Amino acid sequence: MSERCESELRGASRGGVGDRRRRNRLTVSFLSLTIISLLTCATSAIAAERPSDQLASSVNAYFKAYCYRCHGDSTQKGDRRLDEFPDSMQADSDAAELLEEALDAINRGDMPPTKKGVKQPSDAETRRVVKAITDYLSSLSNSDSERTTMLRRLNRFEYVNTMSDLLGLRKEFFSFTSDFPADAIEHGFDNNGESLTLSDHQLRRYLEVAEASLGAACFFDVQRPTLQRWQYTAKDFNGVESYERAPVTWRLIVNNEYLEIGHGQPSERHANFVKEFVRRGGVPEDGWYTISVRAAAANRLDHGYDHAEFDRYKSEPLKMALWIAPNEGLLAKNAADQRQLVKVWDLPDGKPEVFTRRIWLDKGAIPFVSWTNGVSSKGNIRRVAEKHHSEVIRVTKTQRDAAKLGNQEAKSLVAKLDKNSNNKLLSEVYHGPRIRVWTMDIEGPEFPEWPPVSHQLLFGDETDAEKIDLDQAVRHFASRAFRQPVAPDEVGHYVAFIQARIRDGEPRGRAIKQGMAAILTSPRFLYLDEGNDEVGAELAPHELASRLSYFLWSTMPDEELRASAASGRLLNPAELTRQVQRMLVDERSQAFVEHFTDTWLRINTLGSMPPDPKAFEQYYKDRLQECYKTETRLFFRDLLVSNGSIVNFLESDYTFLNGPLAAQYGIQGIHGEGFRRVALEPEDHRGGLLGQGSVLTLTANGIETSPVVRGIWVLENILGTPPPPPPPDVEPLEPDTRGTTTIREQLDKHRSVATCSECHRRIDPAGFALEFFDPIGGHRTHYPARGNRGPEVNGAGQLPSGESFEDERGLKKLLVARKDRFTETLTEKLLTYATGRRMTFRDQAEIKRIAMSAAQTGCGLRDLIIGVATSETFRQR
Amino acid sequence: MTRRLDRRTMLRGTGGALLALPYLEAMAAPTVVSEVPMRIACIGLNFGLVPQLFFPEQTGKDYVLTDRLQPLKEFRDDFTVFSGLDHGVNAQGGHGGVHAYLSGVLSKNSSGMPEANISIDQKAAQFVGAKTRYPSLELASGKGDVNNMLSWSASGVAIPRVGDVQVIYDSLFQRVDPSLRDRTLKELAVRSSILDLVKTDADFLKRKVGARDRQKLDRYFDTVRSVEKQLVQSREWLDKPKPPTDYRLPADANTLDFVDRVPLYYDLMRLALETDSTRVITLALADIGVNYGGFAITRGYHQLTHHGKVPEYITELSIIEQFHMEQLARFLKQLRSVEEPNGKTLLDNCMVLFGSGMGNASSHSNKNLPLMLAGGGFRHGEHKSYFKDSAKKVATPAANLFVSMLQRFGMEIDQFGLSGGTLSGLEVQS
Repeated sequence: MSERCESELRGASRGGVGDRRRRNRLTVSFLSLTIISLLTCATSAIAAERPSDQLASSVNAYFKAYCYRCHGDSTQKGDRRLDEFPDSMQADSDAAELLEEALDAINRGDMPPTKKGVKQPSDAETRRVVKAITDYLSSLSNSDSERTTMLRRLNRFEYVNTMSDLLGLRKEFFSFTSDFPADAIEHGFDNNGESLTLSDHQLRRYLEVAEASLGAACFFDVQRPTLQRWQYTAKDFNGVESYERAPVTWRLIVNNEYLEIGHGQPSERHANFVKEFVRRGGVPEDGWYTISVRAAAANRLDHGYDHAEFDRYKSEPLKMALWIAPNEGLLAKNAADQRQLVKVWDLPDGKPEVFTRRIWLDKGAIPFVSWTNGVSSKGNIRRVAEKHHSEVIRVTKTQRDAAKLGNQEAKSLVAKLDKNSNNKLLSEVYHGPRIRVWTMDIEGPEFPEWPPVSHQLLFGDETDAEKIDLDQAVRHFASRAFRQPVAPDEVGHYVAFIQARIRDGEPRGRAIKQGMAAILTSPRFLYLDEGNDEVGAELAPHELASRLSYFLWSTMPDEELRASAASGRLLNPAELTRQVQRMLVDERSQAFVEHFTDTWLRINTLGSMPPDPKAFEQYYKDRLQECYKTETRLFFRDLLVSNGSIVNFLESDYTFLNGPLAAQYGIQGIHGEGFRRVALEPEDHRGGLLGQGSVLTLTANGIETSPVVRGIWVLENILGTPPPPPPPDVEPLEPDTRGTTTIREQLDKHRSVATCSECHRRIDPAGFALEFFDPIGGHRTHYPARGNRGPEVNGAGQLPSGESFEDERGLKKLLVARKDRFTETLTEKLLTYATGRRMTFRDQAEIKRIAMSAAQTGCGLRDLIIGVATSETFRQR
Repeated sequence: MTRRLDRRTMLRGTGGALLALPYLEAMAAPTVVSEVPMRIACIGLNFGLVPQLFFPEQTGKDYVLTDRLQPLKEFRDDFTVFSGLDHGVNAQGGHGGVHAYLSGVLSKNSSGMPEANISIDQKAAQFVGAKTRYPSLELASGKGDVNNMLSWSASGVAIPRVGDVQVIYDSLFQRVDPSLRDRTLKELAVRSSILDLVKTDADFLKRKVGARDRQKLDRYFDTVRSVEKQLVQSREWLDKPKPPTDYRLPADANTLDFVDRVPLYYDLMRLALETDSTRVITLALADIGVNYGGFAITRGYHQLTHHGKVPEYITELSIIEQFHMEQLARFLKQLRSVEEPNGKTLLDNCMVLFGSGMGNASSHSNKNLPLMLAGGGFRHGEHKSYFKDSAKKVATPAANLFVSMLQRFGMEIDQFGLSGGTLSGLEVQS
């Protein structure tokens, strides 16, 4: 057994100390202004003189006076004891982590607790001990050299974006990289240099993807495909002309004029497609296609039927979705998973309109449509028919067979229904809500440029492989792929390789692609090269350009950023700020909006614990998961663009909604698929991140809610004070829902255990306030109970500080009062994301400086990001 | 532009764990097996099993079969039920702890470990190396569940699973046009030379970066060398024929309900082991899919595991759990029916580990994992309790069982993950 392994074991046997250490690295101390200035002095003092390498005896004296009673020899509340600190410790050792934790608790005012019978230190004593611990920890971490970002591999998200920009291919092309192993997550972030390792499988896939994407990007000796147009009418669809009873899918061709679609679900199993287009094998080439569908809704309101499933159409339009099946096989009724939903349109009532979408299609793809908010089960039309059109009901084969076998009931039924046999067919009389499609036109493939952009990016206009200058092409490509200028001798081996392949008889175009595939497998492409911190702390211009562009765009620098780096201007703070501002308004910053919210708020975990389909049907019916993500992203994007205050993350009087989301939130008057900014009233119970379905769903497990999980989420992501993991010998709660025990009562029981109460008094309160939201983020006042209304939700709680609240609105008020701490948390999250490393104790001063400076100008999100990108921490290796 | 379609076809053909490499139809004479190899098959459930219905009350040989164990009645002497085994405090995390089932280490805690959170199957696959067409197979019913990743590489990366039964079948048996051979060989050769080429860049970077980064680049080199080795292996296997089979999958096998699809995974596992296409397989059973998986239940699997001790929930949950046990029994029966050249059955030559990284889904506990081991030539027939302190429910590292299994597999190791040795009392038949 290796030494390292033994120490791991020791760590493990002591109860997850390693894990506690990791959590603690992200811990932000909350310091008052005085303490910040103390800390700043302390840090600068360190640079000048070497402080004591021993923990001041006054610190232990303080612990003895105020802490030992609960964290000493006889009692160890929260599994912590403070009476065993060695005289000198190692940076990042368990002892140092524990000391840091104690410092945080003192700074926050959590410790010693303001309880009856607990001796309280004077303010002066507290300030002195805080300074002494801070000095000591600073000197410890000063000797720690790990304040640099470790060589980072591009994560999956960055890889796809980079490949797409480098080769001029659409991101969708890389959908097949979805089988890449998931990147390791370090406190939510998946771009941490230390955890981004490379596996065999991953390297093999890099090689394969490089080959495939170069194949798609290069157009050596290829003719421009001709534009074609296919026009189809109702009779070309896979419908029938009449039904005598309701089938699984109501798909009628009426008078050869339009196709009627009478059933549909959010991800429709039954595709409505053009038969002839399938026979010809879908689209003939890869390329851009324009698809136009002429359609309308019929009988949305005036059907006259009494049927519960139709009620929703009183307030929402019928919606038609355009889908792509990548091949014929995926039109089969159970193949829904790999189809691509392109667009959902709200249909007009009555008169048809043309809906058009331009989309890239791969060869063989087939477009189809569905009624995406249609009636869901096959029984609906049958039930309507039985109730309203009993004269058209025909005998089924089963009934007739039963009658033949002598079943009396069946016999009389058959006799009765046989009278209907000359009546009209169901399809002639049924007039329920449905959608109608008149035509579908498909036009393409279009190539706005030839050779396509991808080829031009690599070789300009030259499509004759024989005429490509190898030296020039390889150097040009490598300097883009490696994100910095390359000298000829740095890429000579690639040129030599291509020449050798050609000598071996490989066609020149193929050989070039193979050489380029090698460049895309090189560590200089796959890893972000940020130089050597032993040479100097400052990032070189091209290194800074890459760091910036992966921070804000998750992709390689563009021409302008490269030019700024090449001239060295980028090192100038004003120029750096200008670049950040430019990059934030560029549409590529959407990558930041999506990926940062995904990782900071863990939005990317939505879907890992899918809500129960039966209990939460509307989650699937209204595609709420996507709506939730969109809401959070729009909210973030808006603050970024408007430089709005980040306090809005804690509480806001607006959010972004579309029809389905508004319905889920119980907000009236918002219809249709499009999202818009909506003002909120206090009684809407929304506003801020804690009112958004994304956060509320990802902090539940799809079945039930847990105040513990939500409470921890608030501590980690809003307050930046994650709790330690539970002690090893505690049995988890096994809920007993046979009675009417609420989760609150169970937790109260849990908290009566001393070892649990220390942490749970911090964790649970925020979670209690959020109990007003069910597992998919719907507001509730009562818990569900089987068949009935369960017990009432009690959302009251008390923070460790003693402040109390009655519900989530009260909680949000208290969080807003802690906006400084939130600003620091967000700053630290941003810096962690931006640098690809975890923040250490030594970064805290810079974090506080950035946060404070943003606070002075109104806490604008954009200001904060500029503060991060121009900070010393960001500009250093 | 058809060349791009070719490229994609190639990509599909060679993508993923060297699966579906085209091979040449050339019937070789049956190879003489000098020594029958040991195999490992590990089956993992996402939500565990209701503890009180799984663990017998008594320990030792004369324990009474619980409801869950009833379907395995006829194999009573061929398996051991363990209680008091789990992965300790380092693998707690509710649903987020399940993926430590075969490693004992959570992904997030793996960075300090010499081989990260490598799982037992991947450790075993290292030992098999190039001796079989596939060093290991990683299967999952359907799309699987991100929480139920069973197989983890030595670099701490979850290994993608194959859920498509047709793809599994093809990778074991499919005949491919012989004309693809030359092209595939050439592709593999080009890839090998590309990997040779990029080492130059790694050297270049090494001169430029700091000490910690250089260590990381060393790992890049290791990975490059490892993939080079695999490419050589692929080239060698290209000219060896896949075994013939009479087995046919039903039409539309992938669209079948869970209850009808699960037997197919087991069938293919038995075939893969029998034909020595691989000696190491994991099967993740999760995500029963649409239509409640074909079970006569009215609530989702996950929801049922939150039974809160409500009898109706437990009754429905039992329908699923009993199915898992019946399928296991069916698999063991199949293994037992295959006679091997050493006069023993495939079951004797295959360790079948069945269980979960979830101890009690109702309380989200990863303690006291439901675990049982069948076959592999061990002396079975008991319920063994490994609680060090049954009052306090202090368990023994389940990784000890993995050490015993890996030793039985032929590996000379005395440690795996956070193990503390072998599992005492688990002995090989004399």
